[in-house]
Amino acid sequence: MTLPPAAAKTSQISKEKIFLHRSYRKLAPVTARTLAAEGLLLALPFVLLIILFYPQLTLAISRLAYKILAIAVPPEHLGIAEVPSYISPLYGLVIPDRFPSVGFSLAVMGLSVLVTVLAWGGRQLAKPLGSWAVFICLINFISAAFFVIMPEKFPYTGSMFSGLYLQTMLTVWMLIPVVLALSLLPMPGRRPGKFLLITVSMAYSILFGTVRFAFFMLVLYRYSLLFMPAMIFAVGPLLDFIFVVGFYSYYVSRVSLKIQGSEKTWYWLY
Amino acid sequence: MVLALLILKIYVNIVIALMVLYIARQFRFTMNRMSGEQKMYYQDIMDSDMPSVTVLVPMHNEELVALNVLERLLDADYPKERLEIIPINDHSEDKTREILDKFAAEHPAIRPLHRYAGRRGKPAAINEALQRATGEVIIVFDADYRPPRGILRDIAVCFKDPEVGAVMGRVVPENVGANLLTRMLDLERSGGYQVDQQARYNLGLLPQYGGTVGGFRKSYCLHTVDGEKVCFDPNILTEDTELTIKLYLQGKQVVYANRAECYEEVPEDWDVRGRQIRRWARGHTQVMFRYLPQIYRSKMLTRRQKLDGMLLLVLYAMPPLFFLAVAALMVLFFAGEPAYATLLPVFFLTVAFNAFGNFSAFFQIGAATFIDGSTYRIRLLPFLMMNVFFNGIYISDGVIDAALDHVSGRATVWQKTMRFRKK
Repeated sequence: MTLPPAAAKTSQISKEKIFLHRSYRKLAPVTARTLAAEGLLLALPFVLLIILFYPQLTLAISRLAYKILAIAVPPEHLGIAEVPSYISPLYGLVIPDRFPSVGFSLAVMGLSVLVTVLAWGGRQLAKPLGSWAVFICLINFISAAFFVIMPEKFPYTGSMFSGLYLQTMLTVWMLIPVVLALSLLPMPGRRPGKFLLITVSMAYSILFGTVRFAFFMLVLYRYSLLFMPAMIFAVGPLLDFIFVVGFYSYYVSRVSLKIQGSEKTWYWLY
Repeated sequence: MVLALLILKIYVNIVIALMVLYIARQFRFTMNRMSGEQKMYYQDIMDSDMPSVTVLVPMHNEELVALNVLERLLDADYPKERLEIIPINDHSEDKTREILDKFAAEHPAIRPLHRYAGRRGKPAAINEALQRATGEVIIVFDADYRPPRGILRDIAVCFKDPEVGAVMGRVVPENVGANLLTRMLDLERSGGYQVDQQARYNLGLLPQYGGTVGGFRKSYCLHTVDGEKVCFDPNILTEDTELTIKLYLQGKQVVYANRAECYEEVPEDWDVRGRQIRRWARGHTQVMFRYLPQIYRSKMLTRRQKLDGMLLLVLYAMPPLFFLAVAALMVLFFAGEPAYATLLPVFFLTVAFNAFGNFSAFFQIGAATFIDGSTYRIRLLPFLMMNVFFNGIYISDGVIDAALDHVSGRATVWQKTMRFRKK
């Protein structure tokens, strides 16, 4: 912008538009009723779908996971059946149980200690990831110690894990729309856009959850039940919420880019 | 065995309930800041009769940054006859002393205090400086800060109201682009100030004095210990949190001045960051041990304020409680209680909401950076989850330190945060 000579001399710049400073702005006021309605509108359809169709969903997931696993597991060791769970009918994969040998458990304990030392003493960027690795190692160490001391007391089978995993995922899939709907409530933007974001997040979670299910079952089949606790505690639901936050942040970033230069979005403080 | 498992189940449920309570609180704050009525501070008041101000800048080996902060303070838009600057050289072994003496020789407003005896640390240093401070209002900046020209006036004018005991400005990182850590800390700061502090101020809860980019009224703070007038307990590592609580218990107000922004340097190194939050957690928990019952019994605070104050003080105890809950869930898992494994999504959901460190929920940080006008920076939000275990470990260490301090009554040693500014 070229300044008029007088303005340039006196630093008195005439501007057509001055945006509200970040300290002095907010969005348009909304009523609690509008918010509640929007929240229900965004979250409820997904929650209802999960509640009404979870048997079909778990069956479809198990079929897809079966197809993926069939690449690495002989078909006589693999099956789909109704698995133990608190809700029925719930369909999951069935595999033969494999218990770790004492030698394998001791090796896992040793490796966990080694990785813990390396991860915690790691370089800069590895530090926060290292602390996560330490958490995983700690769980594996405890699990391995359990299998060394009292393997017969391990209360789960592969099929039980199957049921446990799918129940956990059903809970995750009911929570994702609620979490996202609540998080998106304060944000401007059209409802279809928000609805699409939740749909994409759900689709991703179901797909990722299925692939992970197949992977977990393969680990249990190949490397024993020892790794079950780590799968549940360290790389289970926590990972799902990380990508939910990822989708949310991408949406907010897009909205932020869209409203740049818009005078209508921002209101004065009161 | 059955009883032990029952206790563990109750414990896990209590931790989840506490985390859900924090989520609800953060959600309320976010909604309030995004679209609720906002409370402004005293920035529109113009007065020629400004209070006398003493600016304290505690320094321990600050040769890299001392020059910048003093130059900025000398350039401040504040009546010179009402301004005194006391940089506190606290046992420095580098060239801090020479830099301060050079400035003092050239500028009479600068009256350095050199401390080479007595206890080291910010609370002890400020206590000693308060003995010679002439100002009615004490404004504190850490040495790595770059105070803008009008900030002293912005802060000091609030003290025209006699109910105001302290004022807190907004801290903005200046070295955001240094690496991923500094970018993440920028997000955390944004959530903590733009939404959390402002919403607490809006809602008449307890905004916090943060010990820097802020000031307090000397007369409300000083009390006599062993015949000496002091303000802070040198054993408490977060003198700012203690002062906040003490002021509220006296029925005074802490004002949050969102527009009074000041740039600071955030840690560029994970180890430095870890030590910093460990110190914060230790100090904060020391204050919790000392003041939690007093907040509960206070007649000066409303019920909502008491709840907010208690949640504020318990904040740093949450990571160790979380780790204990994980341990409890592990025990329940191996004991054949699969029902508790299905509770995990709820459990980790609450973790996902509360990014440990600044304890801002992710949507709170998203909202704050959105108001700030950030665009691509918001996309780093999921990376904050990387901090969950890292911060959790250091905070837990700090809380354990504080518990040991409380039991043993041992003296604490101040650990300064390393600076990264280039020479």
